[in-house]
Amino acid sequence: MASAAVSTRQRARSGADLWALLAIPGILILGAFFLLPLVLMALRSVTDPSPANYLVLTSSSIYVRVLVNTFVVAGCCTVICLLLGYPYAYAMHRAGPKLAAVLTIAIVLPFWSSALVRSYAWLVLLRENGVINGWLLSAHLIATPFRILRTNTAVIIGMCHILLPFMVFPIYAAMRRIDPTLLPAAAVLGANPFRAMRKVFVPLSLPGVYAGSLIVFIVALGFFVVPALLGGPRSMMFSELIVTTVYELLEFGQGAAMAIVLVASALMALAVASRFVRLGDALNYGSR
Amino acid sequence: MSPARLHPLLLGYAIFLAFVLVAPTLIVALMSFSAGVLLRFPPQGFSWRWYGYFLGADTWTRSIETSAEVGAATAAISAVVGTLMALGLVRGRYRWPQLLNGLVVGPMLVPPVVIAIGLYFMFVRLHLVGTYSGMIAAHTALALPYVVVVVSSSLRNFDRTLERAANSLGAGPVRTFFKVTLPLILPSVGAGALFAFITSWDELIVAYFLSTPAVRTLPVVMWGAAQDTTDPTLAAVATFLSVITVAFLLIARLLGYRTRAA
Amino acid sequence: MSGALSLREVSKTYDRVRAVDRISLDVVAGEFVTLLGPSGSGKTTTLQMITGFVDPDEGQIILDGRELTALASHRRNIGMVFQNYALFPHMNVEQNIAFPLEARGIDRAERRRRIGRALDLVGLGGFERRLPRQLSGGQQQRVALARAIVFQPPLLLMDEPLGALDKKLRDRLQLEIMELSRTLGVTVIYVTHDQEEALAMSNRIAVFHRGRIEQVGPPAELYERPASVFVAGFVGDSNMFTGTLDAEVLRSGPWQLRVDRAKTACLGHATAATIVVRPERLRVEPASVGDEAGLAGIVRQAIYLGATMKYVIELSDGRRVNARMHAGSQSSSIGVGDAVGVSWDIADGIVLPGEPEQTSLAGEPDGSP
Repeated sequence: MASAAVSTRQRARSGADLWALLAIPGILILGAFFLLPLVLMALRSVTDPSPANYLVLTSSSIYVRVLVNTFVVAGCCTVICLLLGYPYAYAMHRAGPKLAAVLTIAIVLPFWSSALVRSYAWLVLLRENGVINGWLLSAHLIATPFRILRTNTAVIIGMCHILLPFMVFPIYAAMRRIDPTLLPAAAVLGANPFRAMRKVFVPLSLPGVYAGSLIVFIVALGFFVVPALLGGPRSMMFSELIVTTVYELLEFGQGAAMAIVLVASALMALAVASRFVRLGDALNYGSR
Repeated sequence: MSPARLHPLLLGYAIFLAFVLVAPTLIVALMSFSAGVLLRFPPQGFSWRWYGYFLGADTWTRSIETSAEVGAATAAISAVVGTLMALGLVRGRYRWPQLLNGLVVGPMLVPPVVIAIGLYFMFVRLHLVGTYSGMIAAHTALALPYVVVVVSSSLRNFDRTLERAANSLGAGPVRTFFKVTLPLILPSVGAGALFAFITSWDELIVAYFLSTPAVRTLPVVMWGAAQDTTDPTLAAVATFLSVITVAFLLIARLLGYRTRAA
Repeated sequence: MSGALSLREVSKTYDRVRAVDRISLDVVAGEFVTLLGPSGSGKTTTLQMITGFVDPDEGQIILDGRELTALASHRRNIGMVFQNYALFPHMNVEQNIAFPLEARGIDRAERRRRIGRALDLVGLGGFERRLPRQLSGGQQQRVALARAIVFQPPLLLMDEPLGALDKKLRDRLQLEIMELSRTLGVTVIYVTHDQEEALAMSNRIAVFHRGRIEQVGPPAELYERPASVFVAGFVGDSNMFTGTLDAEVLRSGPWQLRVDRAKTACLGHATAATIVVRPERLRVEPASVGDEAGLAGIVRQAIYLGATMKYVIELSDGRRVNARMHAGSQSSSIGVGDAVGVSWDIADGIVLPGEPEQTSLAGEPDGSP
């Protein structure tokens, strides 16, 4: 209220909202190097040589299969991250300050460290003569090395490792917003701990769950590095297909069309979910 | 209110998961000091030999320089432009604020492959592929949102009566900004700059499309090598990448705590 | 009638600090007892031990013959109004009030009836569908109250429930809460640091200080016959003269103040003691009346408070006292700068052992005997 009043007065005095002008350089950079390339690409998808580019998707079953697989993998990652992340966020929320700091660092480091480095680590761990197989064999827990590299399982493991923070941060933030006296209040009003969780705590943390699930799903749709390193032909994701089309087949128009399809899928997911979610919350990682 | 004790099962779960999250990178780091030629865990013996190979090879060292230069320039530009943008977004009034917010979070949500290809198409025409300026421009677009998010959140917590107090004490708007506002949000600007550096430092896909054999960042070279081999040199490269990231991240978090205390 | 609460030698230690130190208190069914004390005096911890949010290290808490300490919070059947109300933000008024009834498995028809009656009691009929954030502070307070009494608990706890409200509303809700507790016959334990609120509302007040109860008694007793210097200072305004007790006088600075022998018989010779005089018991007369006028001083401030006048008088040794008298009485002609004499009836001088505590800046007094 107060700041609105101030800026109105400023506007009245100087004829323009001077604060608003400060955003211009940023808008120009994002416009030129983020928005413009996307617009040009959209144009290219219908002009190089023609909108028939989009028909490539029907030319072979591989495109649909990869697109479906992309959605399946993204969906699996969302569910797994939710199941793993909710209790983790709860532990972060209820832990003492020292443990909370340790748990936070353990989740912040993966968020910022390179997807390439971690995919490489999983590659080393999961391959047939890798670290985990070595342990299991020497402990006589398995007779022959397991093979999960080049499968969806390996891809999902690697992706969940990277995506978990996207789930945990919004849920944790939602939990922190819950008034800490509500659970004691529920208890003294006669609710046993299970009932207090079910009726009070979980419903109040749902905004974080929605936000986290949406972000994980959308980010998962665009994954490239993890499936490229850990996956195989049968676990291919759409981003890989786009890179192949552009970089190896040099079919720029078709690649552009496929990129637009991928963005459109993400936008659709966003549109469906945006009714439930405060996006601003979901994206506020850096400050935590 | 007294916090109910964390259930031991839940506590154990959280600690286990925290360990699993950190373990892969740690194991690779340990293996990078192996004296043997094969990647084994636990590593056989201790040696710096793989770091020797890594830091002795021209391809690697040149890519480190490229990464550092691109990252530093990205961080500097993002910090200045992002801080201005955060000031504008938090304090200015716009006709379509949602649209502007969409523009800011866009680079975080649009699949990186799509951004990379879009930029590639555009930069081919502009002859910016394989140039530092092209790489820096692209990484700035990716890193800017992080600076905006961090600085905005610190600006929203900023007590504006301090500025009114400065005004009432006779300081003009410019003086007030540089003497009162900027010093108080500076830690978060610093944190934002570090996040921007890390974004650029770790970024693979856009850099992959915009690089040429002459100008390649460290992740791009590592990506190329990781396709063919997993020899311990890569473990050393991965560890080097991570150590820099973690160091910058810890500094950024310390700055974050200072912001909160202020 | 149920709702008899008894605390027996209850203690709680945090990090080697005794937050609550062997407290005993018996509350009769239907009584309104206030726990009064500065922050950190142990009153909130005591309340939390009654609700079960905090487990006592030792001692017993007994409600109607039933030991509470072994019971989880949700089995204690105690009503509580929280300082910030703790209304569930995702539930409307009706759902909030239904919450304790649902937890007790009460059927829908009965729930409806009880919610309706509780809302009528707090004067919020018709607000069933509102969300907490759509209510004013006073209305939220009433919902919290309705929710705390709807399951007819024998004991109602209130933790500074009026702290966030402005003065007018606070005064009105004080009356409403008192009436409600009488109507329901419920026992109330009321926590506050506001001594005026405590004096106004309670049957009895327990004054907390450093984890102990300094005195328990009806408001008038606390005011007229405080048991310690702390109670005298915390409950009501007071003027204090500290010094050494010597036969029938207290040596305080340049003065020898006469004391009532009968009252000081139990105090030893040459002990540190304090005379407490309430501002309205001080007599202030123009110095010209005669030498008998008492302690000499000069009026520094005369403050008009409507029904009364308040005077701040600087005595000849530099310390200041407050006096209060009816506006319009003969002394009201006294003005700032006038030389006056200050005195009181010996019977109005309350003599207590010890000295008032210094402020933290001055450090702890030695307290040598």
